[in-house]
Amino acid sequence: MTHGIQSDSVLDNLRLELRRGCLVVAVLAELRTEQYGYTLRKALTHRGMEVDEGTLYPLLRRLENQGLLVSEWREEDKRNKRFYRISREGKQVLKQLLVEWQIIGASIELILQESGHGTLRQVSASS
Amino acid sequence: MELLDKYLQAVKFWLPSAQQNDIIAELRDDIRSQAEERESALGRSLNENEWEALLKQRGRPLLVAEKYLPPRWLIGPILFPAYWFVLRLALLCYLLPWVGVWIGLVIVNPAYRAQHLGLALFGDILFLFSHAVFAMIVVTIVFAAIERGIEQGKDGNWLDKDWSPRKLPRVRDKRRIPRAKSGAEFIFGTIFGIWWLKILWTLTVFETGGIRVTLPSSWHKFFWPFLGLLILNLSLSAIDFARPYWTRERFGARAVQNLLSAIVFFFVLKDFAPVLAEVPAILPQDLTSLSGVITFGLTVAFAIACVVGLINAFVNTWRALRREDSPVRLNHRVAM
Repeated sequence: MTHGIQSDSVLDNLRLELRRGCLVVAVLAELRTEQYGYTLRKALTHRGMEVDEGTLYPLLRRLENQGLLVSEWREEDKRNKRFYRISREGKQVLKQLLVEWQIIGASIELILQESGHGTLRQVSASS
Repeated sequence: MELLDKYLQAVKFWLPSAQQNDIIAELRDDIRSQAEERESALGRSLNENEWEALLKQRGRPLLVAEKYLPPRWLIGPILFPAYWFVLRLALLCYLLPWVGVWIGLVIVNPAYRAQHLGLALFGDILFLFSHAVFAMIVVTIVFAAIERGIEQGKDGNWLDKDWSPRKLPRVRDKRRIPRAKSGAEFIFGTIFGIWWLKILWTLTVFETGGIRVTLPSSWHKFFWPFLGLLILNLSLSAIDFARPYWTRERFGARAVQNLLSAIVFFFVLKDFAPVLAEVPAILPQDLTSLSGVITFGLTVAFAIACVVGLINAFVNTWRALRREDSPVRLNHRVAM
C-alpha cells in the first residue's frame, strides 16, 4: 500500500517535470494568436494541457522577460486585460524547440524499437 | 468582493514593490473572469461562501506570491553539501569534546560533581547549547556570504573552471599508515614523554625568576605508569614506521594502549592533588587563585585525555574486530 502511494507520488513528480518543459512549447505555440491569461489557460486545458494559474502567470512573465513574448494592457468587456502574443524572437525559439521536440520523440521511438518493446504507440497502448 | 480585495491585498504584501500593481491587476482580472464564468453557469451572483471556496482553491496568499518571486536561498544547492559537512564537523569538534570533558569531570571530580548536577545541569546544557548555536550561526553567515559572492560574481561557472582530475586528492589506502605520522609520533612522543617524566621525577613543573610551580609528592607514584606508557607508545610508533600497514593485531595493540592510557589518566584524576605555586611579591589570595587556575587547567587536560583514550580504545577495538576483507556492499535498488 505504502509502495503504491510512493510510486504514485513518484509518477506525479515525473509527470510534472515532463510537462514543465512541454508547457513552454505549448504556451509559445498557443500565443501565435493573441490572448489574455484566462482565455489562454482555458485554451490549454481544452487541448489537454491543464495548467494552474499559479504556474501559468509566472511563466508568462518569465517568457516576456526573456523576450519571447510581448504583452499590452487593453480594455475589453469594460475591464483591463493583459494580452500576450509571441514575439519575433519567440517564433524562432519555438521553431527550434519543435525541431528539438521531434528529435527527442524520434530518439525515444528508436530506443523503444531497438530494445524490442515495440513502437511508442504500442507501448503506451499496452501500459 | 470584499473577500477578493482582502485576498489580493494579502498577496500584494509579499510581492516585489516594482511589480505589485501589475501582478495584482492581472490576478484580479483572472479571478473575476473565473467568477463570472461560474456566475453565468449558476445564473446568479456568487455568495460569500462560494467566493471563499474560489479563493481557497487559488491557495494561500504567500504561496501564490511566492511563485512570482525569483528563487532565493541562503545557502544554494552548490554550496549546501560543503556547508552541511562543515556544520557537522564544527558541531562534532565543538560539542563532543566538551560533553566528554563534562562527563569525565563529573565522574572523577567529586567537587565538580557536587556543583554541576541537579539544577546546575540545566545551566551547563544551556551553556553548551548557546555555544553550539553560536558556532552554527557563524558557519551559516560565512557560507551565506560566499553564496552572495557567487551570485554577484560575473562568472557564475567559476566552480566548473580551473579544475582537473589530476588535482584531486590521491586515492586513500585505508590500510596504510603514513610514515610522516608515525615518525612525528615517535619524535614528539619522545620529547614530550621525557619532559613529562622529568616533571614527575623532580616534581617541578616550572621554575624561573623566582617563580616556581611544583607538584605535591603524591604525584611521584605516577612516574612508573607513565614510563611504561611512553615505552609502549614509542614501540608501537616504531613498528608502524617500519611496517606501515594496519593489521588486526596492530589495531588490537593500539586499543590496549589507548585503554591503558585512559586508566592511568583516570587514576591521576581520581587522586588529583592541587599544584603548588610560589611567586615572590604576590598576595596570598592571588597565589591561591593562580594555583587554582593551573590545577583546573591540568584537570581539564587529563579529563580530555582520559575521554579521548576511551573513545580511541573503542574505535580501535571495533576496527580490530570488523572483517577487513568484507566486500563492498552495493545498493542494488539504485542499479534497478
